[in-house]
Amino acid sequence: MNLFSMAWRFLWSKRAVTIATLVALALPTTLAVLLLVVRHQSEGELKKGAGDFDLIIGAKGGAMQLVLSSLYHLGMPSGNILYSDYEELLKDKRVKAAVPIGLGDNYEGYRIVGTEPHLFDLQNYAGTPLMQFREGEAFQKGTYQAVIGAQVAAETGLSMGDTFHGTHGLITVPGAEVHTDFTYHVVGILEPTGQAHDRAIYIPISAVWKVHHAEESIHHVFRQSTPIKQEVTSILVQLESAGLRLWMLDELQKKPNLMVAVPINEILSLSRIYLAPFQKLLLLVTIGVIIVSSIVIVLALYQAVERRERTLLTLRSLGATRTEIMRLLFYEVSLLILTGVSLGALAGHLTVQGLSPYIYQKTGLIITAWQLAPGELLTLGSITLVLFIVGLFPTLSLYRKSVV
Amino acid sequence: MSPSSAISLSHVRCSHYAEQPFALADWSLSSGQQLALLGRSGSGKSTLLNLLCGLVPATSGSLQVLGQELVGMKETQRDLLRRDHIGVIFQTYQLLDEFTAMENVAMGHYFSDRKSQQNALELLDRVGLADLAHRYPAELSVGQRQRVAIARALVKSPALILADEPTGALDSETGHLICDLLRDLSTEREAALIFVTHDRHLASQFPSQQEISDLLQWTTEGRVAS
Repeated sequence: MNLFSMAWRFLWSKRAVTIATLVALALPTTLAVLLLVVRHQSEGELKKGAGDFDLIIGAKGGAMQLVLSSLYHLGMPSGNILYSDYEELLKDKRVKAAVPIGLGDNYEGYRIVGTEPHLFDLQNYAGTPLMQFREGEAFQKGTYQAVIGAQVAAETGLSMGDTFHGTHGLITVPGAEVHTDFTYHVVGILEPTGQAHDRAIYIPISAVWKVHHAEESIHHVFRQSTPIKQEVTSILVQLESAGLRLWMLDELQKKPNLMVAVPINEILSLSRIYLAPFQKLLLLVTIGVIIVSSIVIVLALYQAVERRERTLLTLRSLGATRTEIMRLLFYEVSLLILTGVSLGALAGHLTVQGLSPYIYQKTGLIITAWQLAPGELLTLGSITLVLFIVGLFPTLSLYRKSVV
Repeated sequence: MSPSSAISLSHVRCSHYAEQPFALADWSLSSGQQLALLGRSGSGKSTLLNLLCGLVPATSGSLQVLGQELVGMKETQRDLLRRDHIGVIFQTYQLLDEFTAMENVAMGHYFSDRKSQQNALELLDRVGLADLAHRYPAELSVGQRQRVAIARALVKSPALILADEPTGALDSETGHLICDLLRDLSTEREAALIFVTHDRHLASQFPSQQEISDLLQWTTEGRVAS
């Protein structure tokens, strides 16, 4: 038996106190890890989609509004632009790929996005496909075929071969018009991506026009206006090089009817605005963790000294030096700190794992539980270091104190 | 100090306990000698034993234990002397509840560097507890606990055994058995034994007795109290 196993036996013999101390150490650590992992991964997931396209072109309005409505399927778009703007853009040699986006309808709250089938062939700068099919394939141009995102499939129960009708508007409103004349067939289901694709229903852009042309024709009868031209809500653009972004941005912004946004810039500013308070909260929680844990460890140590004064005297009578007694207590506190912080970190990741289906369901973000967040090891290391320093005080006071 | 002395005191004063400084009369204990030290509760028996085993430092004079001068000796050196050569037995056994009888005995030489350590089980067998080696203190009778404490003190074959009222918590019959056991083991190992007791009948079984009041005097401001 060595001093370390002796320390373990002392802790084990007072299991209830030891477990209570470990829980008190682990719980705040769990909270810190939980916040770190969720913050980092949600931020990462948000930025991940933002880098897939260099520019988004839409009607005049807010840049953030354009990015959110086109890329994240959130909020309302500011208007439409002409399809001819898209066709003109395709002629530009700086453009590697461009995809039109046409919005207007939803199905059970999930947006129906009119686009071109080559959207499913696009890759990001790293060469990774933006989307992959879990089942089926891309829709054919000129049809009423639909490709649905993973979350849409999971939540609506739509599967391959199923049919459905779109409802007018981007959100579900009681009494909204259902386009029963136009039936969509599910021909593809996408793999989950943790991005907005999971919450989208993709159909050919021509289907959007046909549905709304029919609608506008009825309006025409009443308003005596001409039928609308072919329009799109926005255009997602990939350039030959990221360095071309500002050049094209300046150029396109000069056009009177167009608004251009660089998605990554908008998302970064969104992060700064909305995640800054979260960062402060995280810092406060970490400080709170260190304070609470320090109090726990100091109380546990002082209690260990008081509770076992008789034991320490016995060990001294057997010839243990003060240094050995101090080492014994140090091993005890080390076991408590390292086990408590490790259990806390483990519980933090387990909690993330438990929460990730809920987070995915509510936000569409895929949070990976078993991935270290940047700064996580540093935070855990800092907590451990501070606890060791705090734990040294009672241990040193014991060294100075005579046990006789 | 004579080479055959286990303990030799000369003009020893101790002010470690600031509220109760004390002085000791000149005195010695031969190697292998068995002494019953008599005193009432509060007479300073434990204080004296703490001084003799080096847990408490002497302030002045000369205190030689097993040939080593304790006055002026560093605490760590006193600890090493105690761990290798002095066995201490308490009235309340002071066994570690978290460990079995066997582990408690083995603990007696855990801190010792001596190579001539005796096997803990042999010692337990010698005190009649081999069958109970794996029981915890709470599962033993008070007499059995004291036997474990004796085995623990002797496992490192000490040259000096300090027993602080080892029979104080036992009934008379068990107390006599423990006393006999301790004397036998001390004789076998040629170890000097100081057996502190308030029981004069028990003390009469020892070849020599000493009143603690003849040995230890409380002092005030460095002077021996009258």
